Amino acid sequence: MEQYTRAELLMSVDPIWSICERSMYAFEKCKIEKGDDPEVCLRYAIAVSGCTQKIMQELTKECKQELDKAVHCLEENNMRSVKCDKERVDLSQCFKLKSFEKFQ
Amino acid sequence: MTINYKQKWVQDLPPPGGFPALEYGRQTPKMISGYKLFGATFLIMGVGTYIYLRGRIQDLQDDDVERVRLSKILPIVQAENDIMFLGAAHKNVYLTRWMPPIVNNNGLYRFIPREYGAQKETTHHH
Repeated sequence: MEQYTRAELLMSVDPIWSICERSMYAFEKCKIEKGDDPEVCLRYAIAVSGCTQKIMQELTKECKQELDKAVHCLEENNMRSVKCDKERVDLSQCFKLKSFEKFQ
Repeated sequence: MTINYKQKWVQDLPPPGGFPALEYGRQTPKMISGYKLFGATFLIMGVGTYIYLRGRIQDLQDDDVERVRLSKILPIVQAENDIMFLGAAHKNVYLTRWMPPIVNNNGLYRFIPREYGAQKETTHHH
């Protein structure tokens, strides 16, 4: 499992949530209902993690340039994603055009 | 040098109506009204306050947007942390012979809230 930085995840929030929204909600529901024990919600955690990994691999493969630009902008702006809306929209657009169909 | 003696000689005289009255009193510059100064002060302060508050409101709205985005990556980080925790060698250190130091609960220590570490209890899942 590859670990992605906070900047990468923060900039690809929209692509990830456009695909993995249901698994995210299921995971958080489990966490709220059954407590913070990592073993109880492991199935949901694996689902969330696997889905995120797939999207991030796709992004690093297809939209490498946009992702790098967005991460650079975020790191230059003190990790404030509000200042980098243009780069974030570009990344989402790239994902939408190139990879969104594959995950349907 | 020739002088034309036929020309009419005119003596210097005061202008018709006489000279204007001499201002021999004390001369002070024209003062701005105090009410105007008061108004200008509050106008400037109002403009500054407006600019400050506008920026502050914008910052707070940006913070809200930022918090929403961070909350969206929370399940990802949480899931990853759970998996890494279960994959790591985690064991209960309190099964060994080491004992935590005893805190004196009779003194003023009990007034220190728990989150400051005075009466720290550690819980482990395993």
